[in-house]
Amino acid sequence: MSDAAPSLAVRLGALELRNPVLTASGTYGLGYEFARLADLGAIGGVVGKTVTMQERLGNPPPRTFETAGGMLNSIGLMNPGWDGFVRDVLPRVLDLPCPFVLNVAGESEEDFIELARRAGQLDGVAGLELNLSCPNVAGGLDFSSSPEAAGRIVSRALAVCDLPVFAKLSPNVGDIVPIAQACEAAGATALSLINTFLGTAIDWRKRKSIFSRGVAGVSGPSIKPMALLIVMRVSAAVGIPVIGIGGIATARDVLEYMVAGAAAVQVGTACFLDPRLPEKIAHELRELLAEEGVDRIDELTGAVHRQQEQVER
Amino acid sequence: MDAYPNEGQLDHEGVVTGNVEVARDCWRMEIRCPELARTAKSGQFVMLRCRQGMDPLLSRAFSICDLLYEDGEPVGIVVLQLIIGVGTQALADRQLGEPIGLLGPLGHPYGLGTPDEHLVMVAGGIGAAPFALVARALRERSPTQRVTYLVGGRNADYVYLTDEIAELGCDVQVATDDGSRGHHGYVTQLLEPLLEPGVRVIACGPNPMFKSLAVVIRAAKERGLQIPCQVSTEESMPCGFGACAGCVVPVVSNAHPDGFRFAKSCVEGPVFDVEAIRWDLMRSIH
Repeated sequence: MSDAAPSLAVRLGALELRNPVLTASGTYGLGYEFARLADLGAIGGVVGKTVTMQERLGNPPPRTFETAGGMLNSIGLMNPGWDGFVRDVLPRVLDLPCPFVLNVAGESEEDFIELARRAGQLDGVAGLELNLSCPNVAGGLDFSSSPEAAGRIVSRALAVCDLPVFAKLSPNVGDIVPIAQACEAAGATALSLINTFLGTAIDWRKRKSIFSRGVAGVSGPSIKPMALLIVMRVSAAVGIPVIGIGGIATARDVLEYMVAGAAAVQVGTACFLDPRLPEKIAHELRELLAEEGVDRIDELTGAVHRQQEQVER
Repeated sequence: MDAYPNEGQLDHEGVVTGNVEVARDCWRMEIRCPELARTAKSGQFVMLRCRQGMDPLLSRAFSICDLLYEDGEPVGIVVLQLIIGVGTQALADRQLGEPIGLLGPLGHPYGLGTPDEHLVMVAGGIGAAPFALVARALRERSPTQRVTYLVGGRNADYVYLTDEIAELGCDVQVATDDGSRGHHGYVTQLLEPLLEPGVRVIACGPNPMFKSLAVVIRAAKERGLQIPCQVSTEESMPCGFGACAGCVVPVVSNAHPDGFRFAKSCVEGPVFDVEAIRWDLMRSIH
């Protein structure tokens, strides 16, 4: 075992992160709210809650429902809109001691491109994540439902924005691999996999869904096996980094995702348990790697595929 | 009330030092956690881990009902919880000496006004929980302030904290839906005859109670009597510190086209001015 502290640094294209632990969009506000509660300098970065062109009040409550090993949400992209973000939020996120990745969603393809263009003009934002996969707004899933739509938006966004661009895709598709490949071909820096699975909850006494829209997104530890498989399959089929998302709550979860093919991860629902959970996970990663004698965490990325190749030979 | 209320380390590990059923399905849990207790204010809340591990996944929000003291210093908190599901059942099953993860203290406390006012606490059901600490804080501030505790429940089994609060020198009046104890009717009917200049109201309970409270306060205002009134909402809170946007309530906002916006009740509340909430848009969850 090496005496040197294991290196947790990872790279997503040109973006270097001090460790692979990011917060997932929609689960950690815009980051700055929690800068007095947690040591954000100890995590890889914050991916902000989705910003849309216009302010959105979000869906009427109830917005969440607990499930076995997870939860459903139908928040509906509540956010201050672009102007409110730039005026009230941007100055504060630029003071964060970690990279801030701006997540945006459009109501139309043109919205996405305009948001990407505006994001590209901001100083101090580390990257742009395109939320092509929100299940809780009308048409939100359409942008990642076909390789053509997803690839076109990524390609057009990259033409107007110099930031690293991540495409956040939906698991609610027949086959995610061609969609991921289309994003890669369009030049995406990385793929954020995955957004929530579609689900619902029923109030049988009222004979109706808990949620006003009838559908919601499932997240939390219960979706980890499905998300892990998607990360494993997609990372085998693309050459760009994959960011694993889905049910991550411990350092062990992070390492499993990395072995399955993720270059970095996003902690989502588990952030709700403790604003310091992301930094605790980052600290624990170092301990686990040291115990195991791993010098660099990025060596683990995709290890399952190399193992598989050996088996096949 | 839009300033973010929480600061410093919120995550703590406490120890369960008491957990007994004090009324039907209602458990009183004592948790030793000095660093949290030291800064807790009346009306604030905590998020409790139901069990060790991740099942149930989400923490549960509870008002800080009271503080535990040792040598005059706060060293722990009391929560009062009604068993309504798997999470609260798991909490009722917690054993003495067990560690328990918690976040807090969270949220904006009640505004308690000045000792020359007549402070009226209005509680419905398990919404009684915050008022032991409120009464204690008021008595520490002034042994002579007039304080009244109006408490309602569906029947006599669901009326809480009357003895504790009476011992602190507060007037106590009870209302039950079925007349099994006290006034046969709603707790807000007990409030109406008390309204006069110099009265301040703070309330916690289910949304139907708040809606009728809002009507009473508005009617007084229309008679020219402005009663300061704060309510502490009881929305279900997945995180409790502003991360999830799940616990929203509709609040008046003239800056928005429909005259309202959704406010995260955990960080903009849970205490709101009664007139800040759009009761016509508030759902009845209880």
